[in-house]
Amino acid sequence: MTSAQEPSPELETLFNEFLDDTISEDGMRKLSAALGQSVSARSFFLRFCQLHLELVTDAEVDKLASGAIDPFCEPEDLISKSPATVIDLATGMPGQHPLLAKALGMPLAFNFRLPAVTFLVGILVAVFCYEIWLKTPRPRDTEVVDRVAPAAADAAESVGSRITPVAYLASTNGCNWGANSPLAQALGSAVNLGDEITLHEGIAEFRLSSGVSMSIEGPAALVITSPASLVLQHGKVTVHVPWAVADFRMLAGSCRINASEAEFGVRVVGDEISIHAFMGQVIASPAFEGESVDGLAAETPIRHESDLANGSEFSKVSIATGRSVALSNRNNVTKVKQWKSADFTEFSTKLPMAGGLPITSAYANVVLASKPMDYWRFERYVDDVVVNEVAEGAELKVVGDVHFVGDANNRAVELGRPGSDGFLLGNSAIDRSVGPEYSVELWLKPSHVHNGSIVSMAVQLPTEMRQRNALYLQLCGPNQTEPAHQRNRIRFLHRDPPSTNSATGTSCYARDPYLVRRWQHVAAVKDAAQMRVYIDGELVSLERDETTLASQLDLIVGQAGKFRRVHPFIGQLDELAIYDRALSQDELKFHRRAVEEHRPVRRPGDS
Amino acid sequence: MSIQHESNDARRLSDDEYVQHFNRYKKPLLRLIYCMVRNTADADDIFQQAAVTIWEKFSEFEPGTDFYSWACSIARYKVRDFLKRKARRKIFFSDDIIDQLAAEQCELGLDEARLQALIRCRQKLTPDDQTLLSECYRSGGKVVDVAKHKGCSVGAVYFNLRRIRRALLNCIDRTVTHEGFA
Repeated sequence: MTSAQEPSPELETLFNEFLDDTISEDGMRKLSAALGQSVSARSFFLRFCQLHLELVTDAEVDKLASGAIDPFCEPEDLISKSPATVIDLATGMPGQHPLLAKALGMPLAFNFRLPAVTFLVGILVAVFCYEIWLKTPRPRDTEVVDRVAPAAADAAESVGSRITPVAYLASTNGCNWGANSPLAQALGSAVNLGDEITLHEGIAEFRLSSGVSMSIEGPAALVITSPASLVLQHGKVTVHVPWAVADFRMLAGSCRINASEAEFGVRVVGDEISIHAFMGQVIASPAFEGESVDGLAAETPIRHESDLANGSEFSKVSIATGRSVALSNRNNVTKVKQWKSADFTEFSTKLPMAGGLPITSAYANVVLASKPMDYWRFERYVDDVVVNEVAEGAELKVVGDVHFVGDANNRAVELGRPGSDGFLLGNSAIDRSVGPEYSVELWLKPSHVHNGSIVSMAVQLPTEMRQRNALYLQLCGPNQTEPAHQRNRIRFLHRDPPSTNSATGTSCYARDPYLVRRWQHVAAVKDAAQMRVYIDGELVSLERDETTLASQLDLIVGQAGKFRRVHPFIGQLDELAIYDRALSQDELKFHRRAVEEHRPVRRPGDS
Repeated sequence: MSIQHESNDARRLSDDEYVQHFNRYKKPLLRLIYCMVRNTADADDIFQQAAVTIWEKFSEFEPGTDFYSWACSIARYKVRDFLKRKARRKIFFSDDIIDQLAAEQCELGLDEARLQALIRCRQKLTPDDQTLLSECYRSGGKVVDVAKHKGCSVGAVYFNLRRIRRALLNCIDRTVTHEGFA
């Protein structure tokens, strides 16, 4: 369809402003008036909208294909206050910050409306970047390109980048990148000097051209400022600095970290910083310590843990292997909060996923004695179907790529490995015909904090639409737009009638965050009037809901929806049992104890 | 509680018909909703709700009548419901404009020829324009980020983005007219 009459330039501007969501209230009134008066204007407007939507759709498909977004949930930008967000181009405010602009190679304008604290952080970042820019020997472009991954170099060359890559993306697991992240989000993608990396969720590993390897756990944001330096704005990173890198530097909040031949982890949340030295010696110092106006550093003596007691003002200190220090910044004064042992469990990237669930047939017998309706142990699968231990129970069909891990004693299902896209689907609809009570019990080991669907029972539309959930057992992610008490928690949703409307139903959120890379026993229990969540046999959440479970529900394990990959669970699951009654706390504790009391005896050769 | 295999032939037939109709018209429906609410996330939410209602009420749809018009009326109802809730936050089109747009969108119907033309027209853009278009849309409309990445002003990005849109629209119109698809 074409229009005989073209719109005026003014009207076309309004169309564009409408599409770009920059239209003013007055513009909207003018647009409405024009559309009300003219058929050709409406025709043109509809065609414009069609074009825009097709371009939006194409972009979304591209992002989905690259694994960049979750189809139904692209969180808003997190709390990252990075150099790029501190420096806001949208304001149109005059002024340049020469240090950061020079360091990052960008012409940027300052946002004077941001809070003073953010301003200070910006200044810290700027000065640090400038210092790095001044002090870092800058290799010739060819040298750097030779040392980074070939894919990264190719990518940079193909787009004619004028900026040299300083790192490349080496691996990803369940990554949900920030929209402002310049990465192509494919393995081997190049990271250029000054690029901001924002990871909402998941784990990503980068190799810097200097040989440093770095793992980030979302939510996190950082800027790589040279092949041997970076600025961590918030979140967690672990870094391995090989012996060949003489002076690796990191700015984390108000703290500067130097390391060589070391492995360490850093966590920045608001004004709290913790540094864990896993291997080698790590030197931490206040960001400005030893700096003078003329740029010449005054030598500051390095102190030791014994010199800096808890509560003392922070100064340059050496963190020995196996030790960690927590710092707190209040009113621009950084103090030592606590010294303790370095803790691997603070960093998912340092914890192995390996480690089977020590379950024997004794546990299975205890569960079977509780008469589940369905019980999948994930020990046996035939023709892509997981066998139900209950004779009349439904089978779980393996859809896509799913792995079974473990040893002769016990096996578990592993979902969401990088590159795999599998889930499990009940091969028959579940019909509740006896009472409003039910329980779902299982063991789980999440890879990392993420938004993942563990088990859902839902009404499916016969198309690629959202499922209408009736029961949803979910790992909540770290999305900062959600209330703090919901983040990183296990959520049990019961909704009658089943719906896509998130405002309906009752949600039970566990009291504490779930553990990553550790097995935990989880049960969601619904009786006539209450919903309860138990973790390791302890009651961790309670809500009131007197509705029942709908009938004819599909059971899906490992993602939400069977037509589209939404909220994939990344980790391992085992011993999934569904009951048509409410299990008591005593029963759950009894089940939990059955694991402790009947640990398998390791035989030589067992992994 | 018991397990029942879903084997209702009548329901499955109905589902098949629904899928056939729905897949044919889902894009025009989404476009219509977007035109009314001017936000892709809101449009997607309303589209999901409309799709559920269309599926639930599909047994009421009379075979032989116009599915798209019927679905449009449901979508329009959902949009009005949404706009009532959002009215205090943002200015939207009046009911009259919505009705007019919906009616003309229904007349517009399917646009396969235009979609095919769009694919070809995109390929005719210069590499720089293709990159800019892709970056703008992949950023989710965050032109500020694109400008920062490009090292140019936000105004320059908007100017070029709008120029490219107009070029694409002209190209699509020319293509469908020339090839007799219109």
